[in-house]
Amino acid sequence: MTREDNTKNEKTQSDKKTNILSGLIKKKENSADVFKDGSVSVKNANLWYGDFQALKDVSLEIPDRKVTAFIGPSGCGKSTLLKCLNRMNDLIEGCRIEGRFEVGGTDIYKSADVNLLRKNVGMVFQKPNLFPMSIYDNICYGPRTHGIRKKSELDEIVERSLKEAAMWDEAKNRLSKSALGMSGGQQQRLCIARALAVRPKVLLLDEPTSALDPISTGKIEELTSELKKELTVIIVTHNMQQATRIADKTAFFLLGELIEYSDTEELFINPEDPRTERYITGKFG
Amino acid sequence: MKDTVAKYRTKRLSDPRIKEGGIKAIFALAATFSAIAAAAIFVFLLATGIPSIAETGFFRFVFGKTWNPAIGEYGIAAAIVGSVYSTVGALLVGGTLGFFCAVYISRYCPKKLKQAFLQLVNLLAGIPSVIYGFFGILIMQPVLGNLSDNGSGAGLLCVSLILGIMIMPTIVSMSVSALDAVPQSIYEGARALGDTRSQAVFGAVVPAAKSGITASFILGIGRAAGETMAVAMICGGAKIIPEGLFQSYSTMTSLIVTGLGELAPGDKTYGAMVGTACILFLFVAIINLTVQAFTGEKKDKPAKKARAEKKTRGTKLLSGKISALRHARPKETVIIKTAGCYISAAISLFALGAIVLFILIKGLPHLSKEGLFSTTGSYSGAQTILPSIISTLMILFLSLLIAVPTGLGGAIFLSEYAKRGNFITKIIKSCIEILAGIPSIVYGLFGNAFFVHVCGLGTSILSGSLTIVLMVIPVILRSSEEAIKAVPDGYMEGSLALGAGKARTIFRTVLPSALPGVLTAIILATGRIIGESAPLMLTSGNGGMGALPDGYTSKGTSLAVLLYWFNKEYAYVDEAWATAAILLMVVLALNLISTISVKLLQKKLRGAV
Ligand SMILES: Nc1ncnc2c1ncn2[C@@H]1O[C@H](COP(=O)(O)OP(=O)(O)O)[C@@H](O)[C@H]1O
Ligand SMILES: [Mg+2]
Repeated sequence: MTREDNTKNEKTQSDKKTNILSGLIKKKENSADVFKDGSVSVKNANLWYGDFQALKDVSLEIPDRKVTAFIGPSGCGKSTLLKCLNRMNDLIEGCRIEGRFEVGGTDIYKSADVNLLRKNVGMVFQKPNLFPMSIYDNICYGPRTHGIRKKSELDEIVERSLKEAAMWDEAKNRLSKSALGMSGGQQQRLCIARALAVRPKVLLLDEPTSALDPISTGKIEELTSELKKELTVIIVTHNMQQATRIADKTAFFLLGELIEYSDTEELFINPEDPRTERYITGKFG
Repeated sequence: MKDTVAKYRTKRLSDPRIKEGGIKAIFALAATFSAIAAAAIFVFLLATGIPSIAETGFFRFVFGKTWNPAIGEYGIAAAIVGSVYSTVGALLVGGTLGFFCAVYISRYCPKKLKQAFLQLVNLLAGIPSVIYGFFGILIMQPVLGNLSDNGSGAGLLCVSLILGIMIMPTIVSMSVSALDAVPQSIYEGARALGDTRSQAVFGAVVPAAKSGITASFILGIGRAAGETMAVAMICGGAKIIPEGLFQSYSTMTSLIVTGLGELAPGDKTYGAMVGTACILFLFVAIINLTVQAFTGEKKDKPAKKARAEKKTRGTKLLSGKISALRHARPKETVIIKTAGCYISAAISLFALGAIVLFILIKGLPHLSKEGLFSTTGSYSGAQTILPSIISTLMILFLSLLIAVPTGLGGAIFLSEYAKRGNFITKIIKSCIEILAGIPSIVYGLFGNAFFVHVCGLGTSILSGSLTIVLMVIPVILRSSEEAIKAVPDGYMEGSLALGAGKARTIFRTVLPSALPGVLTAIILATGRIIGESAPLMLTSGNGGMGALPDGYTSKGTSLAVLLYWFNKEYAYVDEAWATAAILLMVVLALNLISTISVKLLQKKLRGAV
């Protein structure tokens, strides 16, 4: 009797302990070890814009520190899926999302703070969207947002990010000049540097080269291959050569459905689905 | 130890949900305040106005031709007819001038001069209403007097001309936007069918911009109907229905502003004034809602607009329409219309030049150090202007201090937080739209009843400032909202994608980019406050000042009201000219400052610096 009581007591106590612990862990989310790596997992994703279904039961596993490309005709939902991964779709009124999205093993729609998520999952948009500030302030925007104020620390971050984005040589002498004075290609690489400055584990690139000339495009492609040593890169592209050049894995979408997803070589040389074949041989889209 | 405390504190302060929620609540409060102000004015008007209208009897009030407080007879038919005549006259003058001037600016003016021309026309909108009145009395009426058989230039013709010039800028700027928005393909389509430039402009482009131009006319009607001081100064003031162009008469607005004097709520005449304001308010509110229906439809439903555009682009339909129109248009009328464009453009520049030059040439010689800055209020039988300068600055300071944060906060809420289709958002927006369209005299009447009497603040600079706050909030809110909406979405997305919260995103990226627009709004509001007269006359003080104001609770006559008073008291003609010159220079300087600073800021934002 007493023993039983005792064990019960112990049990409730240990329960309390785990509760406290989990509370602590929850509070600790700020310390950024929620996302243990840069792997991404999407399970049974469905998404509606109002009545229109833009994603239909999409599931895929994206490996850590690899480049994954999303291809498909425009309007097939590539950007939509990309924006689910850093919850930019939250901003759109009438957007309804179902399914499970994980980054580094954490369910991003349930347990993670959205700002913390976006710090870990960076994004670069189709059109460069640098702020109307100096190059330095642009790069520091993210770090400052997350509480870094010390000048020396910021200087270090700026140099490191610009170097990682292969922009250091071009930008080092004009850090205090407006970022909008740079060329389109330079601006896009500055956007990448700005995203890298907060040390993301995943970098989402939404047709980053579609508005750029071939030389700038080449530079960004080289960059992605460098970046994957540090983080996961997911790139949306409508240029199939680009996918074959830089991506380890490729996913092909059509009308909101994931048609095929495999190693890039496999997908382009030996597609399983006839629709994939028709797309990559240029029959539609 | 110290470290952990610091950490704990920053953590609490930066708890994102509390912070974000709090900031959102503050913005929401600002937006709600604007809506409540509109509702309060509305409720006040109805609650005070309707009983007093009922006391006289609705029909006797609206259709009675006799207004004579001495015998308790309150019929405003003459004033209503006066208002309608003035509005129609103003529309004939301002509508014609404005329409042709807009076509000139949009289609004939050399590209390089276009912006400059628009800005010159907008200068006309910035000139205070009392200056128009003053110009009307001292320059226009003597000239018009030569035409009339009774030798007096006062009356409907003078009012129509002055009011027409006053509403012209509104019509021009809105019509130019409408004309500029017409797809180039429509013009090119007409040219491809063999139309001359003018035939294409009047046959194809103008019809395509019809709804925008109509909306600009309606807005102009609203302005004209609500205009107070200029009209009160030049209409003559007799309470009769005018039977000619040169007869003294009254409008609803002039009736209120000249008759309120020292009356207080509870007085029967005061009630009748509010009743008059009620009718005016309803009239103007209906007009503004009509404009909103015209323009709002396009703003809110881009899909619908796109569809409509596609339709007009259908070449078959277009070419059929154009050729039909071309056959219906003999060449001569097109030539006359084209000539009308050039003439109207010239007239508008001439009007601006005439007003500015006359006032400055006649006013500047009367500016003296003594007359301006003697602190005693008067010197050797003359009045000094300093007490009014101080009063105006005090009003300016306090009202901007309250109105800028409120208006800006409301704008941020409406553009960044409020859900589009939300019912409450719609109500708030409509309230602000209505508030923006309320004639300034109605604000004055409300301020007089609420701040001066109900709150017991008396006729004071404080009452005046608070009244002005209500008046400029919608000005600041609406232009800030436009400025914020014009900020590229990419900035917001970029910031959020870096993990910044919404509040930080707004303060660090959206607002800095919207700054030129917000600044313009503030400068515009400043100009309006400095030039405003009717509401201040009823709330802040309306006579010459014997000494400097000694605080917000003392009476203070603003510069614009002082000009009115100088003109009314015939003894102070020189001082009147001097005051007019000062007012005009301040307004022109503000315009210049806003243009330059906005250009510089925009340059900086574009990355040229
Ligand atoms: N904000 C939105 N509201 C409504 N529909 C949208 C929205 N964004 C995208 N869509 C629709 O969802 C579909 C997928 O869009 P998107 O993901 O941008 O395509 P992709 O990037 O593959 O070209 C398209 O049909 C598009 O019209
Ligand atoms: Mg896309």
